[in-house]
Amino acid sequence: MSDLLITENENIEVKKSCFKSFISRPSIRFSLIMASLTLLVIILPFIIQLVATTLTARQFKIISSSSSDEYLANKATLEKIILKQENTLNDLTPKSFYLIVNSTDNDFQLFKDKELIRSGKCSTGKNELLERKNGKKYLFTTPKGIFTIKLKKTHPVWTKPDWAFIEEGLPVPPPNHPDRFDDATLGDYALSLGDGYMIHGTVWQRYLGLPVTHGCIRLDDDDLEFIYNSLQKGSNVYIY
Amino acid sequence: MKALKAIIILIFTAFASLYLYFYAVAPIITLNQINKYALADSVFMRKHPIAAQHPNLMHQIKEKAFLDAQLSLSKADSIGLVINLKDSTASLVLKGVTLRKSKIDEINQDLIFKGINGPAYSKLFSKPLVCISDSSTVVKAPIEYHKAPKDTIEAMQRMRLPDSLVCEPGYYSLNLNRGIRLVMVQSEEWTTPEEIAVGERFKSDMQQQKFFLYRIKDLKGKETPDYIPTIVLKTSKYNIRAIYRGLPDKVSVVLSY
Repeated sequence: MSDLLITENENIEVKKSCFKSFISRPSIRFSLIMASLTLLVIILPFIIQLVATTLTARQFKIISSSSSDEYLANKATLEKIILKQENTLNDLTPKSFYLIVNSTDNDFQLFKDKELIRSGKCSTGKNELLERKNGKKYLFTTPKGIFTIKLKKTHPVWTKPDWAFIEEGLPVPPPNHPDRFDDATLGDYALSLGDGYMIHGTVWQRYLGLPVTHGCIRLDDDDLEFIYNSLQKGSNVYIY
Repeated sequence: MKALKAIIILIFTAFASLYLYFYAVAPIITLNQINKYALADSVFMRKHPIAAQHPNLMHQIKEKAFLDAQLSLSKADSIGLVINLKDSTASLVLKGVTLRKSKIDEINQDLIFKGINGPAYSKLFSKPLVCISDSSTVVKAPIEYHKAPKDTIEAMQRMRLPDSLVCEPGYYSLNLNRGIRLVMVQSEEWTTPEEIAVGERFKSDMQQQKFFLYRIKDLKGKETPDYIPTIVLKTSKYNIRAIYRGLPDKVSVVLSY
């Protein structure tokens, strides 16, 4: 048993001396030093930046040190300004109902002040450029920005523009032709945003949540009725 | 052997010096320039004397700068981006109304932001930052071109529904004035091969500017500054898509941290 222990100890000694002789080789030692230096160089920027950032902050503390009375007075002044600015910023949010439309995800949110009142799916512009044979182009996108409700209508009748026929491969009828007037497509209500853009209903409710319109905003019947009753002429509509 | 060692040491010293310059010295130089620039601007200091009063007022100074910038942004007619790193939110704002507030999952900001003093913070962030150039993997306006159909049959054949589930990889990088870079990266794992390809390309384009060898190569041309303070935000690709598409071509960014 003791012989066996001696042998094991000897083994360890042999291994140690082998390791020492391996380490003491000039080429190995040089490689190890270089590897350690590389590691140090890699870590160093972080340490240097950390020290420099801390020192800069401390340096500023020395430059700007003021008495506690001054400090308290400045603090009070700053807090007063901040409060005033917060109120100014809060006043920018309409206190009455306003609508936010997301034309990327095709959803809407109805707010009153900062309170969310209703949200749901809608359909916005399909992002299509239609070109006629004569070169005339029609762009079907929903414009982004801030709009106001210009007009509110019940049982709106859609006066179909030329593109409604061109898109379906139909001949374009003359103005005021009976085919131009459609009292079913827009639903029960319409709210005009100007330039021909409207918020209205749809007969294709299963397409809600998809970009399929010619630029208008389509809603389902319940949402449309609620929004029609909430938004007034002059109410803001934000589209992004 | 000695000659070889000398050459290795020489090469190592050269690379180490350049490395330390790019990753340690250049950021510190930039930080000092930012801090001195504000303190040396007498007009600015007269206008904002309170910003230099006491470092313990940093919280209030930051709050004031954030509100100043938001009020300035509210005067613009187009949608702006408000990044609040304290709340971890990125918001689209128009005329003071928040249109969309997105949660940021992860924030990685360079260390030097912590070293910016009160006056410099006020000077940098009390007005919206303007985007000089940007790039994204998201299509800004995915407009499809179609010729008018000849007849109703052709019109019927063309009818199709868009796939709302398709969402490109979400990467968005903005180079802002006052020398700051903002990068938005999707937090979702890449799944489809297309997503992986596009994402990898954007990521390598972005990271290339941080790579050591790129910096050395760029030393000759001097296309980019030696160091650009960068903030990387991770959020859902759906957020990035909505933010990128919601913003106008000329983007204004309000930043608070």
